[in-house]
Amino acid sequence: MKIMLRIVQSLFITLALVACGGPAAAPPQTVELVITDPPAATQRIELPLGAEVTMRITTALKDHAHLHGYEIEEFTEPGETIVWEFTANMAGTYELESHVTDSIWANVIVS
Amino acid sequence: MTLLHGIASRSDLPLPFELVVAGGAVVLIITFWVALFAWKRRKYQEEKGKALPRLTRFVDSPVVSRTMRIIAGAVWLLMAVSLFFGVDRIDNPVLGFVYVLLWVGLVPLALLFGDVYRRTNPLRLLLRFKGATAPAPHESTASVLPAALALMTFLYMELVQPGGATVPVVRWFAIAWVLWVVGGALVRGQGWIAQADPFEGYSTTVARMSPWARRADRTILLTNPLRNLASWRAPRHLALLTSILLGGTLFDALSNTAWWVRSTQELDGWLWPLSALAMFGAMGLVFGLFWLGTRPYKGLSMDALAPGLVPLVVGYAISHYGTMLYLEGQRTFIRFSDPLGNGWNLFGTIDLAPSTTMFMFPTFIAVLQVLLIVGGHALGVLVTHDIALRTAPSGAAVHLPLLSMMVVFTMGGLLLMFGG
Repeated sequence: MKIMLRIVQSLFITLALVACGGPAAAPPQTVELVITDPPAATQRIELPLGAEVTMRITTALKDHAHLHGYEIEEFTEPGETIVWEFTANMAGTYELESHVTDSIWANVIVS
Repeated sequence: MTLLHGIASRSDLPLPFELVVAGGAVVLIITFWVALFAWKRRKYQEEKGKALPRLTRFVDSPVVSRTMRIIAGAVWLLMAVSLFFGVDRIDNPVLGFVYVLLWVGLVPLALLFGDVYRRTNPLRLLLRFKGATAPAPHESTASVLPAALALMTFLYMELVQPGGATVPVVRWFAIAWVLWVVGGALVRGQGWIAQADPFEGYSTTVARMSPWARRADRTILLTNPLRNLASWRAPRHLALLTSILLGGTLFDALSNTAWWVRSTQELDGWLWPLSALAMFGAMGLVFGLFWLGTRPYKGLSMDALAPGLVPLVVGYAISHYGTMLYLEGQRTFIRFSDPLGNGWNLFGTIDLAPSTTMFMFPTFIAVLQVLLIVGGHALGVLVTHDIALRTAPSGAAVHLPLLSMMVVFTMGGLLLMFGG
């Protein structure tokens, strides 16, 4: 029992050391998205954790854009660009989708 | 999972490869150490612990019982109002209540505080006139097959049913649940509730891994959770119940992998039957492997060994749904203020934003997830081994099939979360 406890303990400590340290400052990111009709295959957008993000979305249709998790949503007009500014302060995978066509435009991966 | 993506608004990053390898290595070391060198005689057959008569008197006092039941009853009533009169939107709090607070929250609650769910079960409050709020019998080995089937139905609603995260669908399933439990209890007596209520069945099972037990005279015992679990005279069909829970979580992890999403996105109408098949397949696979692993033990049924699967169920549930409980649990509490979706602010919480501090530390989350899976495996192997020693002699050969089967489960779980 003791041996096992020691193994688990040492694993815990090693991993805890690795896990420490918050996110480092990341450079600002700009993401440009043009949504066609019909929409293209789901894109993959990778963002560094902690970055200031400017996301510019232009849709071909009258649409309703929604970034899950960060809970940013906005109605769009055809051909007009909406601009979102937010801090990518939550790690994980988030879906960026249309609430009109239900298509998932992109998986936003913050890591 | 796409069907639930309204509620599960985010998913964790895939586990880093080094962590998966480290976790896998630890799993192998622990398993072989248990098989070859761990205790040679059973340790945990009897329920023992430190008796706490004063705590028992406090916990069982009418004041505490009533307060708990009134609070729980009020929450369920509020949610029933949301379910039947609220709007069909993802911010209807009943969806978060069912899928996050109830389904996920039940696990840590039972693990920390024992079987709180049984004492606050809303259907028991409803059936109080039938004696349904009486204290639980000390030991019952009555079959939990009805609860296992109900859990399977719940997992089907959550993971497969198109529109599972919409209010009308949840409404129908909720009606079916009440009819199943209340109807059965009216026909067969209140003993049916313990056998058939999916949430009580799940909670009672997890509570056996808590540090709280009851002596035959109902005094509360503070005990080693491993002893609590290993000394359980398990109900019939527990193996099926735990396999269903484990299979459901495995299917959920599978359906979140990039591979699954890519290969099924063109299926449209065929996704639903394929998902149903894959989910029942995952449950069947877990049950089948467990059956194979338990075959060498003469005189021990699958169900008698099934407590060894409980730590795996708990480890996966918290590892896989913990961050969802953290984020969506907060959101659901915030939404309690507006049960009908018409702009009310009953508790003044509607303008609050959930805390997201935890997501600043993705490595911490990943480490915790691996530790939960590996820890669940380690405890599961120890409990299984302790039970197995009751009939089989020590020595590696007879124990190897079951231990390897558990290694397969754990490795499979780690790989699925790595492939996310």
